[in-house]
Amino acid sequence: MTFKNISLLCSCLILGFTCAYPAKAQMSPEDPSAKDGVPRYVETKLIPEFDSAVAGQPFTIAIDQTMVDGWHTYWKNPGDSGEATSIEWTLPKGWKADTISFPTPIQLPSGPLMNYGYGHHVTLLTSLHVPDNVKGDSATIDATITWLVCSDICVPETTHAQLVIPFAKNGMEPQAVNAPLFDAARKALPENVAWQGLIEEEDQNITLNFKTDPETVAALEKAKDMYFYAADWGIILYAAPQTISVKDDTLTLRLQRDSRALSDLASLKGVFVYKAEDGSQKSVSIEVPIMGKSPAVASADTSISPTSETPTTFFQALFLAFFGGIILNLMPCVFPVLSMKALSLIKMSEREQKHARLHGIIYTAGIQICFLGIAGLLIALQAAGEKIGWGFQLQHPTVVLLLAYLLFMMGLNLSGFFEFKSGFLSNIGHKMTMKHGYVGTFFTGMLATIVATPCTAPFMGAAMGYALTQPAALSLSVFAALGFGLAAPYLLLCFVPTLRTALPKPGAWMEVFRQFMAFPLYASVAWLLWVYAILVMDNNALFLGLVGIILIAFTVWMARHTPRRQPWKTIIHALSITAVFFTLTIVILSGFENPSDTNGTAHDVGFPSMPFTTESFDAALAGNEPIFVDMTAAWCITCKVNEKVALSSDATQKLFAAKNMQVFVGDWTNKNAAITEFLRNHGRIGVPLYIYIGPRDLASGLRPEAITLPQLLTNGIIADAIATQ
Amino acid sequence: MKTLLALALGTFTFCASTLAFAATTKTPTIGQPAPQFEATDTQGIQVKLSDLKGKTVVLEWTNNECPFVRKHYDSNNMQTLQQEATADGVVWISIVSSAKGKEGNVTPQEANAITSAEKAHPTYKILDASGDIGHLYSTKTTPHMFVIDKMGNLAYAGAIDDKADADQKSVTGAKNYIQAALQDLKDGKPVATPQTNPYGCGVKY
Repeated sequence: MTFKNISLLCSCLILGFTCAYPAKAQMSPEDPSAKDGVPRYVETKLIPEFDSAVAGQPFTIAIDQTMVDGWHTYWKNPGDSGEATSIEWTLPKGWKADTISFPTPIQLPSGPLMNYGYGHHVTLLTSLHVPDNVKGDSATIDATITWLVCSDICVPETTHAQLVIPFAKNGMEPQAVNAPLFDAARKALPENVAWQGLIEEEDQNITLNFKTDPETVAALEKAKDMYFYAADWGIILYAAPQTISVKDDTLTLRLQRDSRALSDLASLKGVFVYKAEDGSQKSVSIEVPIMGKSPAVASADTSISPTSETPTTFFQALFLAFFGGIILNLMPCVFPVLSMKALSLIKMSEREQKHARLHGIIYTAGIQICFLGIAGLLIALQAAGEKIGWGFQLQHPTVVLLLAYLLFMMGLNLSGFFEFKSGFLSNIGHKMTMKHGYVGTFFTGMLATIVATPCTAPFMGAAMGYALTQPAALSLSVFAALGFGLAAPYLLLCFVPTLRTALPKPGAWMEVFRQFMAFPLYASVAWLLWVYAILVMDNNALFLGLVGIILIAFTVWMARHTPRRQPWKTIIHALSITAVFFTLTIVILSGFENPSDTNGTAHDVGFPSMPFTTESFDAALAGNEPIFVDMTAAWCITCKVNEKVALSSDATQKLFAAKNMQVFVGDWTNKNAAITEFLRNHGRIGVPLYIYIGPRDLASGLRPEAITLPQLLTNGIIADAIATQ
Repeated sequence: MKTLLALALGTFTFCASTLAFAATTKTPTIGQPAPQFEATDTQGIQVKLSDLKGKTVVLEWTNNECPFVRKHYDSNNMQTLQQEATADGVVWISIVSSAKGKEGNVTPQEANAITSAEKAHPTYKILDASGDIGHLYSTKTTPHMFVIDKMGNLAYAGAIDDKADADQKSVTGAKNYIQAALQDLKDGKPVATPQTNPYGCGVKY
C-alpha cells in the first residue's frame, strides 16, 4: 500500500526514530507481487466456476487468496480486531452479486485478543445473478477486492480484477473449469443443520442449549476441540475459554458475555466446530433465536394488574386526581404555607369574616391558573415531541434554585426575620386584611401549586397518566380536579364557618407555631439545594447557590436596618443593589449549567441496584430472573419515603436476594428520554413508578405479566406482588 | 473549597465516589461507571480519571503505525474531531497500549514528537505499555473509542465511525459516532448509538 509506505517513511524521516518496518524482511523471496501498488502479502485470483454463463442463472466465482507465511486474512466476523475481505463489483446492467460465503475460519490468538480468519490459503465463494435477458456474446465484470492482512502488524491491501464471461451458446452446457477448487471450497463451508437452540443469559455468561439427534449426540460425545465462532460482534468474549458439554440429548455451550445487549439481535448466529473421532474436522452453522421483548412488556400498556390504581373511566380519573390533590396539602413544603393561611382565618376580624369566601375563591383561582398553566405547557411540549413528564419543571436547575430561594424567603418571613409591608407578598399568616389580602391569597394559591408539583402524590400518577392520553380538554379537566383537591381544605374552611370555630382560639401560641413552621420550609430549602447539586454536578455551582442564600438574608437584613443619615443610607442602598445583582447573576448562571442525562444512578437510593437503561433492562428481560424497576428522582419525596421505608428495608432486601431479583433504578432527577418512555409505556408521566416482572417460566419460556405496584409501598405490598408470580 | 463542600454534602458525595471506585475489571458496560485509572501523561502531568468528573472525557486508543489509525490522522479526521471536542470543554485522552518492542510503542519524547508532527490535539497522551488501562477497558483495536459522561459513566464504546476500512476516502460521508455521542451528551440526551463494533488493528499488548 502506497500510502502506508509513504507515511511510515515520512514519520521515520521526520521523527528520526527507528521504525519496525518488517515488510522486506518478512517477504518470501519468490513473492511475485513485491512491487509498489501491488499487494505484497496476499495473492488474489478471481476464478469462475464455469467457462460460460447462462441467462437467468447464478454464476459462481471464487476469490482465491494465498497469503505469505505468517500472515492472515479475516473471517466475516474478524473477532477482536481486523477486517473481513470485501468486494465491490462493477457489473453490467441487471446483474446482481450475492454476499460472500466465508468458509469455516480458524482461531488466531494474538496476546489477550482473539481473531478469526485464515492463514496460508482461503477460497471465498460468491454468486452473481445473471439477468434473464443478456445482450452480446459476453459480459465484462470488474471487481475491487479489499482485505486486511496481518501478522504482528496489519496492512490493508486491495486489487482490481476483470473477468470476461462468455454466454453459453444455444444448446451448449457450461463446462466446469475449476471443479476441484470449487469442490474444496464448498467442503470448507459450514454445514447447515436444523438444531433447535435456546439461549439463556445470566450475569457474565451466555448459555446455548441445543437439542440434536441421537446420532449427532453420539458423535459429539467422542468429539474433541469443540469451539463456537460467534458471527455477531460484541456478544461473547472471543478470547475467553468456552465450556462445551454434551449431556443426554443436549449440547450445552457456556460462553462468556461481552457487553453488547442481546436485544440488538433477532438471533445469535455462528459456526460450531469439532473434531470427530476419525480426526475429520466438522463445522456447522447454527442460529439461536433471541426472545426479544417478552409479551409482558410488549403489551405493557394493557398489562397493568388489579393491584394498581388505573382509572378506567374519566370520572374515576377525576376522583383520583381530586383525592391526590387533597393529599398534596400534607407535603412538607406545602403544609406550612397552607396552615398559616388557614390560621389567618381565625384572626380575621368579624368584619372581615364575610370576605372569607372570596378569599377561598381567589385562592382556588390562584391554584387553578397555575396548575392549568403548567399542565397546558406540558401538553404543548409533549405535542411538540418533547420527552418530558410530570415534575419536568424540577429538571431545570434554575427553577430548582429559584424555588429554594423563594422557600428560603418564606422561611425568613415565618421566622419573623422580616415582615412584608404590603402588597404582592402579604405576610404569610399575618394581618390578612381585606385590602392587602386578595393579591396575597392569589399568590399563596400559585405558590402552593408550584411547591406541590415535584412529587406525584399517591393516586395521582394513574390519573395524570390517563389524563395525558386524552384529548386536551379532558386532560385539563383532570388537572383542574387535582388543583381543586389541593384547594379543597382551605376552600372548605372559608365556606363553612362552623369548621373555623373548631380551630383553636387565637393567642400567643400562634406566633410560636408560625416560627416553628419555618423549619419545614428550611428543610425544603436544604432538599432543593441537594437536588440542585445533583442537577448541576458541579460543586462550584452549588457553592454559588449557597452564596445566593447568604446574599438574600443579607439584603433582607440591610433593607430592615437602613440608616437614616447619609452617606450610610446611600452606601447601604448600593450594597443592597449589589447583593441583589449578584443573586440574580447566580440564578442566571445556573441556567447555563448543563444538566446531562442521568445514565446511571446519580444519587444513592440506599439499596443495591443497577442503573436503568433500555439496553440493560432489555438484557435482563431476555434473561430468566425476576425484575424489579424503581423509577425515582431526587426531588420526589414519595420516592425517597418508599425507598427508605419499603425498598431498602431488611425484609425486602432479603426477599430480593432470595429471589435473585434484578433491581433497576431509573434516576429521573435529570431529563432522561429512556425513563420517560418507560413511564409512558406503563401509563405514567411521572415518578414514582414500581414495576415487578416475575421470573421466566422455563417450561413455557414466557414471563408472567408485569405488575405495577402502588405508589405508596410497604414491605407487605412488595412481598404480595412477588408471591403472586 | 471543593473538599469542604464535599464534606458538607456528606452522603451524596460519598455515594458518588463509592460508585466511582466500585468500578470492576469486567468488560465496561454502557451506563455504568467507567473504570478508574491514574497515569502520568507524556508531558509528565498526572492524570486521574476521577478528577475529571464533571467533564466529558473521550478515550482514544491509538498506534501511529496502524493503517486504520493512519486513515484518521492522514485525512485529518482525528485532529479535527479532537479540536472540536476540546474546544467544547471535552477532555481528550489518547492512549497507546503497545507493549515494549511491539508496533506503536514509543517513548514519551517520540509520542510528543508524533503529536506535534500530526498537529494532534489530545488533552493528554498516555503511554500504557503494560496494557493495564487497555485491559481495564477491554480495548481491542486501534482506534477504539470511549466516551465518558460528566458523571463518570460510560456513554459510548466502539468504533470512531461506521466505515470499517482503512481507506482514507471513506472518511467523507461516514457517520462519526464520537461526534454524534458528544452532541447527544451536550444536548442532554441519551447517546443514540451507545455501542458499536470497534474496527482496526488489534491492540499490540
